[in-house]
Amino acid sequence: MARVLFKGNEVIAEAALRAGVDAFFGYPITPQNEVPEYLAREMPKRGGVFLQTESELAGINMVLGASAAGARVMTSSSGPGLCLMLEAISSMALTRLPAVIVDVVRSGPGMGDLAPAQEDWKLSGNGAYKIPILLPGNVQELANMVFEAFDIADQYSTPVLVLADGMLGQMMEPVDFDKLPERRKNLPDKPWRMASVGEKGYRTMMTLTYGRPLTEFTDRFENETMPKIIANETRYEAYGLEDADVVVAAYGTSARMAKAAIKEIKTDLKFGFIRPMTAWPFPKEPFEKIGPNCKAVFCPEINTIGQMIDDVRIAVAGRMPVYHIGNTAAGPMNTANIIDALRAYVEGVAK
Amino acid sequence: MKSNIHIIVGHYGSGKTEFAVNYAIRRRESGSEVAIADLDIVNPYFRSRQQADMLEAKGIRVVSSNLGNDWRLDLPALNSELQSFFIESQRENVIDVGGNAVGARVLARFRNEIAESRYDMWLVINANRYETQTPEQAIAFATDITSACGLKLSGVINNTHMLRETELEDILRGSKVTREVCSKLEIPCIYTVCPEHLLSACEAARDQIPGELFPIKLYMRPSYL
Repeated sequence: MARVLFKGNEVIAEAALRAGVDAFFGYPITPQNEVPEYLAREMPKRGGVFLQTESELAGINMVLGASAAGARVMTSSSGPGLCLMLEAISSMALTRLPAVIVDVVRSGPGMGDLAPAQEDWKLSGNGAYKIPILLPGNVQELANMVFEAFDIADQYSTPVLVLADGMLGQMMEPVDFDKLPERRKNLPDKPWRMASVGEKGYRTMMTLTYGRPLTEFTDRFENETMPKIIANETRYEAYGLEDADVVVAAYGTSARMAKAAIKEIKTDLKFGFIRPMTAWPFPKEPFEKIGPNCKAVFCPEINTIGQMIDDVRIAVAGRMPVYHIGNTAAGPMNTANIIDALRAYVEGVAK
Repeated sequence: MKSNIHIIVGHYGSGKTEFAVNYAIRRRESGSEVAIADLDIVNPYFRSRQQADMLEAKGIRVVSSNLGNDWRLDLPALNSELQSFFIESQRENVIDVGGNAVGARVLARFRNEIAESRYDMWLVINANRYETQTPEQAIAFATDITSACGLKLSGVINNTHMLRETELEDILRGSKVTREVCSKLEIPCIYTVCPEHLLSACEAARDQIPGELFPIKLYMRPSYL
């Protein structure tokens, strides 16, 4: 298949179909509605179950059930829907059930509005667990990451979240489905899979555990699963760090704005750039590589108070100040806001 | 005398809005009074109302929502000012319709008024979109759109592009698809859209390109994309 123009949301659905998704359960919400629209049309033709549920709660619990039955399963939503799903996602982390959840983020808090946003970085349910969170930066990467998310979910028996902002979901870009990553080999069996009719024996899956089984689970997660995911799945893009005077760190759509801003600004100062491609595991390595000349790190995010910035501050470990650039009263952050903030800093240094 | 209506329909993401905005500006720059209606109540982003400030600065009236042109609203409601499009005048009224048949259904609300006006309804085709790569696919969308709104197509806009990476080959491939669509639907190709940097290449390949060449600027695409 040659390159064709796809909308981000359409690509999420197509990549999932190519990854062999067996079932989709979900509830509509802007700005991700093309995902269920596409799957509702295609899944009956190409095999698989599509069900528009009565709510996000029903959707994610059906995802849990289908995963327990051994299916490759997904849902998609935006922030308000993801909030409702957290209880079941937390249960899936405990029972180690794989699934893919796509969040096409819009502006909150609460129902907020429909503008694209990067405000769901910290969303997580109760309990001591983490799930892999992938951060696509363009439509091709969105295809690749959704495709690979199914394998990551199966490899580590965990829910995987793909965090795309509304702009990525709604925008059009060339995509080539021949360039999807290789399917991972030697994925583990699913020995926990519930026995189906006619199969011998039965298995149990506990979503409520007391005492020893729970501490054994959390211990195993911390000491076996987490180190593997951190070692194998941490991803980022970075350049110009060794001799940078200023580093800009951003992900998703704000990373594209940041790249454009760095290009446009006229200064003798050298800019380095870091784009985390996973929120967890968060890539600490590029921040450790920032050279001694660096005086400041800027984090442009499409939100008001900064979310990724906290992880950046931990990674920078106080070596230099870290500043937020974000939304203004006039609306969501754009390239001009980043240029203004960087220019103010550059001019301050010149004085 | 009747009103002048130019309706732009097509597949999701075919470039209807980009063309409609460019067309409105072109009519305005050639001296006409111009209004543009954003009838897209399907998608929240990349709608013409997002460029309302730029368009109004050029003297083009923008009609989107009764609550103003804030693009972050997502209300499936039509603006009462749309009625002004059907009042007898010299104004050129461009109607930018939402994608596919679901977007075109909104037009049915104004079918009688439109039918009594002098109207063009142009189908925008981008042969690089995954669902409209062949004439048969494009015609299927055309049929869905016309049955949803009850109006007749009067022309085709060949808008085959690959965003900022468009090459002459894209335009020529789209030209072939467009020619077949036009011949089957028995309507003319009005324009073939091309980015300004490909204008001379397109002129050199003029015999392979249907319609008038329409150089386009990307107003809807943010500069960082």
